[in-house]
Amino acid sequence: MEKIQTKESAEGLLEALGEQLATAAARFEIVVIGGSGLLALDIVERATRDVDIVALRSDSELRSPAPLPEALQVARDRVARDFSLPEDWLNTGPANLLDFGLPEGFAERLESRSFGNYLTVHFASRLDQIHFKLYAAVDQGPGKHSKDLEALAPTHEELLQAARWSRTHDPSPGFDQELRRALAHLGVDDGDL
Amino acid sequence: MEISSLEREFSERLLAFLWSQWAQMGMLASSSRKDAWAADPEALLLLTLEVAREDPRLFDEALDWFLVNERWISLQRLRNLSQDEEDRALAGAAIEWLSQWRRRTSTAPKKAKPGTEPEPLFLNAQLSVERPDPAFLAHGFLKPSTEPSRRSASPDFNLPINFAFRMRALLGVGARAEVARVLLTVEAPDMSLQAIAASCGFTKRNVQEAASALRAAGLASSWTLGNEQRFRMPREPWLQLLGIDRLPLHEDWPQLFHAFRVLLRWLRDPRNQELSSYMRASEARTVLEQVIDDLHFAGKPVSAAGPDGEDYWDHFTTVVRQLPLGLRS
Repeated sequence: MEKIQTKESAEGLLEALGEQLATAAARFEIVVIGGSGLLALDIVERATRDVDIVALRSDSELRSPAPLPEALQVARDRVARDFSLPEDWLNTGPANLLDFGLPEGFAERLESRSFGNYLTVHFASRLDQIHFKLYAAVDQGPGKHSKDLEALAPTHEELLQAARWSRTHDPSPGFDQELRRALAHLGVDDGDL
Repeated sequence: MEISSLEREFSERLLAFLWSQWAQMGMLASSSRKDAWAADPEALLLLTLEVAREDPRLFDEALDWFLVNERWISLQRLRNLSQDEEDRALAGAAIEWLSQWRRRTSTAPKKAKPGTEPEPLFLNAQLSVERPDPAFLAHGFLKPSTEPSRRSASPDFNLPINFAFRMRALLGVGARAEVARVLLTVEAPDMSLQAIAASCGFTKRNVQEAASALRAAGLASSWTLGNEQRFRMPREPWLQLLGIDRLPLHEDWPQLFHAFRVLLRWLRDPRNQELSSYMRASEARTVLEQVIDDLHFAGKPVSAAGPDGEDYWDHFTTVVRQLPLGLRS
């Protein structure tokens, strides 16, 4: 069930997470992509079931979020219990994006929000979300990712930039074929790729 | 409802309950109640030591009762029922106080454990403690030193509430009396050793020895169901022996009173007054989850599940306000 229905509900959960972390005196900065990030930045209005962490940030450096540090896990589990959410409502599903490389300039484009003194959430920018959504839409086929991509209303140039990045994550001929098909569907001439 | 209001209400209910119990057990106090249940003296004492931190008069009367009726109390059981550091500190101080006055000698004040600052025993105490009681100081509490009045009386063994003392008078202060009390009063035809041990406050091994001794004396019978040994005691001979029409009712006081202590300490903790609405509800959920097994063991139909987020606070206050203090409350 999609429990995170609105921007307000997403923010409410992150505020609760921030309060749990404050009680434990454990400070974290998390980098978020995906549907909850789109909600938070007012890019789309659709329900989502989770908050996807791609990285943790400390001293301006990004590092892998997996496995989640214990204090963050405890806080996450408390929020899950308190709001009847699945435990993976806050997860590190997209952590491998960090391993293969995030889009150039990703860290500089993050949009940051504080939820109390112990939690800062850095949301991926619209341009970076286009990268992730194009990759996911090609990888997983039509569905919520392609709808999100349409909602992001990417320009011709943004799509090409995203396509070049996504090919670095999956250089296989099959992916390339699907990528060109998707770009064509979005009105982009793949000759520029 | 604010935490402080809920704490005040819960504490007042518990204090009234405790006064009414002790009044039936020999403490210098009056109560019109005649409860049909059998009290658990050590469990009651342990709860009193915590709750009466807001009622110095009850605290001192309980110590006085303890001194006068020491022979009916199992110090080992009092220790066994102490489940956490706070319990152990309070029980340890009371036992040391007893030892101090039993000797009728004035001992040199002991110092608190190194590295720990003693805390006032009585909450909301306005005056500084000029002459701290050495027994309590040794356990980290500042309690004014007071002379026991020795005005407490022995329990009236004919009252149902004092059934435990009657069993102890017959079978000695120890596991046998507790096993007999539980087997005779619990509303079940028979019980496993594990269940008897949980109700008795003695180890399973002690309970097995005691139950086997009762069986050897022809007072109890047992059989094995799967891997489980189960015991029962025929009640008719006991009714005749004790000259009563009915046996008192059973309540799992150790579990119930442990839940009360945990809840009360949480409500009293000043740090919780500072929490946001959400964190207050979240912490309340945690503390209720912590005691829910005890409440269920004691047969209280309470649910730890409730509304999401800060709305849980209303569920928690309802649970605490409606918690039955005993079988008929």
